[in-house]
Amino acid sequence: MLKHPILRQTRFILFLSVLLSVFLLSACQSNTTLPAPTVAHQPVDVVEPLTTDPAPIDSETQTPGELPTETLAVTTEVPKPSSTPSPTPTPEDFWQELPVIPTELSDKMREVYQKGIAMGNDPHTFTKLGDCNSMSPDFLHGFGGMYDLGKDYAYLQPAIDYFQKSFRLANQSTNPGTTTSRLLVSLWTNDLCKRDEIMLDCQYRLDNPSIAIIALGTIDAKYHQQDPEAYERNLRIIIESTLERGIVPVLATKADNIEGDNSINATIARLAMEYELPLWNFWKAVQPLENHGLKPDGEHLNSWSGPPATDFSLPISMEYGKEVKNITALQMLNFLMQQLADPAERVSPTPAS
Amino acid sequence: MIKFKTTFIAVFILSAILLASCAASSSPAEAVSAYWEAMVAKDKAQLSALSCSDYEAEALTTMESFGAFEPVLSNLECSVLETSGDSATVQCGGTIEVSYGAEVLKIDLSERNYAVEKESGDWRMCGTK
Repeated sequence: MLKHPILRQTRFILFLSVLLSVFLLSACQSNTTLPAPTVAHQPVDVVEPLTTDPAPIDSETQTPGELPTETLAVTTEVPKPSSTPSPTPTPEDFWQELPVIPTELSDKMREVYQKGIAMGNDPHTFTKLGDCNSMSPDFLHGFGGMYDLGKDYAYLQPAIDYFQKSFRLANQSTNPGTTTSRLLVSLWTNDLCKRDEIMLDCQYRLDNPSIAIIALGTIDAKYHQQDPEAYERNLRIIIESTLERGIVPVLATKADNIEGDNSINATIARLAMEYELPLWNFWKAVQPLENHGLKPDGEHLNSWSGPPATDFSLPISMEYGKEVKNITALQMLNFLMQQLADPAERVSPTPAS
Repeated sequence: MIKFKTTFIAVFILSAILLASCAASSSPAEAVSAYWEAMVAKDKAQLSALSCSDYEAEALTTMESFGAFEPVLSNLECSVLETSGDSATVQCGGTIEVSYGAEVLKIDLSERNYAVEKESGDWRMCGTK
C-alpha cells in the first residue's frame, strides 16, 4: 500500500488544517463568551392580581390592575395584609418600641448640621430619598400650598413656613422602584446631572439641603433574599456620604413587611442608633390603622383624600397611610426645626390646642 | 505539486477568515453590546468579565439597582466612534425599559458614550464619557 509522496503530503496538510481550524475555533470561543441575548429566567413569582380597594381614593400610578404583569426575580413570599396585632416584642424587635418622633437629638447631629451650614447648606431646605411611597404629589408636596391642617395640627404651620421652598422641589430620587443601589449609580439620573454623577450626589448638589429624609427599603425588600447584605451595605454608604456633606439624615422605617421578618426595619433602626441619627418610626405610626395603612398589595400606602393627601380637616384622615405619613413627616420636620434652626430665623411654634 | 499549493492556499484563507471573525467578535462595540446584554440578563459573572477592573464594582451595583424587576433591552446597536491604541469610545442606540405597574421607566442608551479599554487582551466596558 505504498502511496505517492505528494498524496501523503497533501493528506498530512489536510490533517494539519483541520487541527488548526479546531484550535482557532476554540480559541475564538474562549475570547468571546458573549452572554445569551435573552433575559435570564430565574425562578419567578408573579405578584398576585390585586383587588381594588373601593373605600380609599388612590392616585397611585401602580394601579392594582397593572401589577400582575410585574414579576419578582426571587421567590419571595409577599406577606398578606393583616390587621392582627403584632407579636410581643423580642430584643430583636427593640425598634418597634421606639417613638414615632424622637424626643431628643444627638449632639453629633447638631455638629453635623452646624458643619453643613458652615459649608453652605440651606437651613430651609430638606430633600427626600425614597420609592413610590415617597413621591410627589402624594408625599409632602401638598404642604407647598394645598393643605388643611385642621385644628389638631395647626401647630405645625411654622414648620411649613420654615421649609416652604422644599415641598415642591423637583426630585429624581423618589421614583417607582427606587432602591438604595439606584442612588449609588449614574444610570438612572436625568439630564440635570453631570456625566457619571451618581443620583445621590446629583440630588444633593441640586437641592443643597441641610436635612435628608431617607425612606428606602420597600423595593430593596423584594431583592433582599438574593443578597441579604446589600441593603445595609448600601444604606451605610448613603448615610456616610450624607454625613460627610453636613446633611442630617433622617431614617424612616417602612409600613410594609415585604421581606417577611421585618429585618429591614430592624436594620434601619440599628443604623440610626449606631450613627446617632434621628429615626422617624413610621412603622409604629401605622400600626393602629386598618391593614397598617397599606393597600391590599401590602406595599403601597392607601389614602383617604387622594393626592396630595394633606387634608387633615377631619379625623378620618388619620386612618389612612398616606395622610399619616405626611403628618408624621411634618412632625419630624417640626422637631428638627425646633432642635436645629436658628431661633431668629423661625417662627415660634404654637402649642397644640 | 499543484495540489499541495491549492491545499496550502485553502488553509491560509481559512485561517485568515477564522482569525478575522475572532477579532470582530471582541471589538469595542461588541464588548459594550455584550455588557448591556449581561446587564439586563443580570448575569453577574459575565458583567464582571466584560467590565474593566476599575468599573466592575459600579457595574455590579448598577445591575443590583434593577432589583427584582426585569429590564427589557430593545434595539441595541453599538458602533465605535474612535479607537486609540487600547482605548475606544463607543456609542449605542437602544433602550432599557423597566415596568413598575402602569409606570414604565425608560433609559435611553444613546444619551451617553461609553469608554472601552483593552484589558488582558479583551475589550471591556469602563464607564461613560
